[in-house]
Amino acid sequence: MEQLCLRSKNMKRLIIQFTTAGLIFFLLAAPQLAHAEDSILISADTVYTMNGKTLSPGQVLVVDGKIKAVGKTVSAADSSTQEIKLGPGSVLMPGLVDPYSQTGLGDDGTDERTEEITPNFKAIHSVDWEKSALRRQRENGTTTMCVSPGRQNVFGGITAIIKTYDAGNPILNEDGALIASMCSDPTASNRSRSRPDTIFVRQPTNRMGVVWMLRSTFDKVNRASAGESEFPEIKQVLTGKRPLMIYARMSHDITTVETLANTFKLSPIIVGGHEAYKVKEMLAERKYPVILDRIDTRATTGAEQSKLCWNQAAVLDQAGVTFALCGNDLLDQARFVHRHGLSREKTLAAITATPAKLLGVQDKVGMIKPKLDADLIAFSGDPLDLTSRIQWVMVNGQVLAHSKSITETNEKNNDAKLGGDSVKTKEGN
Amino acid sequence: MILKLLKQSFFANVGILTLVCLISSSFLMTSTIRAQSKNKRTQQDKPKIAIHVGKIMTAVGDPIGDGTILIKDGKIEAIGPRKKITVPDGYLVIDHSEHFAMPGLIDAHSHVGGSGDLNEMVYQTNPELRNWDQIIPHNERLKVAIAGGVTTTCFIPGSGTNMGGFGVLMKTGPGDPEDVIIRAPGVLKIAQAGNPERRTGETGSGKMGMNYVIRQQLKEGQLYVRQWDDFEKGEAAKPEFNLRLEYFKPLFRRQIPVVVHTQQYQVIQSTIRMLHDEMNLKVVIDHGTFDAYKIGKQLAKRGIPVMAGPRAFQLDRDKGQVTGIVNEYEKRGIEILGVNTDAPVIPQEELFFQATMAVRYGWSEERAIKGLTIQPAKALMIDDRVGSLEVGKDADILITTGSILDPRNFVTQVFIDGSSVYDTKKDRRRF
Repeated sequence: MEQLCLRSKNMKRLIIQFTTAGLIFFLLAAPQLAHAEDSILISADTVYTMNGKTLSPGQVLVVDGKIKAVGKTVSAADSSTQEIKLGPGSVLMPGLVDPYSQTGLGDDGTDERTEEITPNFKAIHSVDWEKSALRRQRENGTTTMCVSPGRQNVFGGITAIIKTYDAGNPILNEDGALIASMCSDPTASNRSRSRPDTIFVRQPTNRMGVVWMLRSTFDKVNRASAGESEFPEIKQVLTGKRPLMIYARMSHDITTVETLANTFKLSPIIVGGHEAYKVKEMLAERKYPVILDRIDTRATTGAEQSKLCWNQAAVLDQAGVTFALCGNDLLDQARFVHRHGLSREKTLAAITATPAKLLGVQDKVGMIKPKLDADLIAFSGDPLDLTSRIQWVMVNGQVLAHSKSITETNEKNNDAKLGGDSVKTKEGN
Repeated sequence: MILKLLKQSFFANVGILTLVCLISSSFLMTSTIRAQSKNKRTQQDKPKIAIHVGKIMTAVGDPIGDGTILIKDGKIEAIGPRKKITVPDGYLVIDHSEHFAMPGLIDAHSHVGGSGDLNEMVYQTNPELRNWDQIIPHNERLKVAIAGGVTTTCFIPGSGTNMGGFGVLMKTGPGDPEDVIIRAPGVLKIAQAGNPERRTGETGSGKMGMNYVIRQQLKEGQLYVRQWDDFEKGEAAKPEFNLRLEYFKPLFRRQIPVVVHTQQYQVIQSTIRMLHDEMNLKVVIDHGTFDAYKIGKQLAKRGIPVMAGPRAFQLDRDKGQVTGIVNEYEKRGIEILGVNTDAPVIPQEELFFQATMAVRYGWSEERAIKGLTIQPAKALMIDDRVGSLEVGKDADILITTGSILDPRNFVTQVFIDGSSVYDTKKDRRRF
């Protein structure tokens, strides 16, 4: 290279080379930059629309980052439409929706340590789209995530619903549900009868305290008029204007949520639900949806000594309880619950359409249907089969390739399966 | 102080266990709930049952030899000699003519009704706390308790603070919390001396300070309830609502009792003076151990119930002799007298054995049977529903191989609200 630069003849050649490369780059990259004119037609062996039907084979037309058309055969928008033909056995499904996660929030803590009741703290102010853990979730198929403040506060704050990739407008709802805790987690760092000169000598130090803080706060806000309420977010919950997500694992904690809901006329979404199977009749009767947190199958008991039930998803489904899966690595979890008796259809719904509905973003994500965001996953085979690979993930019409950390060893294989060399990818490096 | 006393005692083990368990144990509707299985989810048509029994101890009158009990809708429909009762059609007949029947046992002091959240110890008085959100019906400990004959417990917060919160009266059988709750709030828990003692640097580290703290809190509650009472009578303006003090209403209206962790002569003196004489509360002495029985006549005069134990005997230094505490109270004329386990300090299923030991030290068998059943029911103010086998009461019935006071006998079948919840023929014998 040094030699070339010194000689004008070669220099000229180099300039031509660069110009050509630049032109090619422009031609390739321009549609991506001028996002509005993008149109992609994807053909797959199977398309799970999660909208009631499965197409086999199927085609999806993406225009302008949105789904334009879905069908057995769909005609391309125009001659410039780029075509992606997925290989034999391929499956296309909607991007996954994780309805409760702390991944995506900054590493500087998801809990406010100085106070227990912080309903006005907002998760959106802590989201880090460059976080590698978030990218990892995206590469594993999660395209929408409800990021929530943690469980160390009795009232943690306000969730945000985001895309896992910042394609310009990655926020679906920055003013989501109020998250509260009905578990022993808020007691974790509090102490009693120790040196009184620390902020951690405070309620709650056990569940009785947690219940009291929930009861008294709801009661206080309930009695205050809308204008003078200290916590407008809680007032909105009490008047049905904001959803309430409440983390409860143990069956008796879920029962306490029911008690609180009866007292204060709440419609809670229960998160965690490790022992939801024990109160399934109540959950079905009261129509409380449950966002099942992932369970650690290596231990005999879960957090707080909860008794785990590996086929709980299937049990809840049979009882008529609405539920979604959450807490990262949704695909692994879906494969697990499917292996333990939940039907294919219900399993896939629990990581796509159902959580989208619970989060109130079903008009944007969770299904493959016209006008929804083009958030898609291309699989080499059955998504619930452990041997199937994610070939690419699409967020708002942009195909995102895997980062090297995942694909290094399989890069060649991956490229071949992408469905043609012409596929443009972001963050390919 | 208590520690000192304990160290001097021969029987310190039980006491220290009490202390350790209750302090370290991080285990375990505004209006009064009087649930009576209105739950549609779990409410099924209960079978009508007729039980023929060799001997029935009703806990109210003479035993009935060769008797029959009819159960309908979870209640006792009829009870009497077999000859006098005709079993109507459609009744499931169970023959226990070789066995005894008696009311389910009632434990006046227990901590095993739910999760281990017993002590919230930031503040010294916690009238805002309640523990019935933590109920785990028919949990593993309660299953064994049933096998020991316990069908009702007074599940209360611990004694880590002077006022641990409000407890609940509940059945030990299966169901949703609303099925098993007899009354919530059931009782207030106050602890005087011993466990709630604080280090220096905080108000109320000694007995004087502790009683100051308890009294101040009760005064606040009393004033609040009085304001509401006056308002309801139309004599005063509407007071400001205070959720923290709401459960004081049934307490000061004498609809629910306060169970007091109190022991030693001196401490019980202050219990009598402050909680009974001054505050006019329905007081139940829970524990009442060490030399406290010596003040028994003062308690008897006021009709204050004593649920003694779990420390059931004490070395009387004056006499140089081990003395049964329960019988000492009996001698001093306590009418409503019973025992308790303070489970898990003594396992819940060993409640009967507390009475057995009291009998060993001189208590009469007849009084002991009552002390396990109708007397705690009276003390806890639930004797309209449980505590004896009488027409109209809950069908909480034990079938035993003989007198429960004899440890060689055991429970073969238990009915709670008319449903068989334990049967050695089907379940393995659990205790």
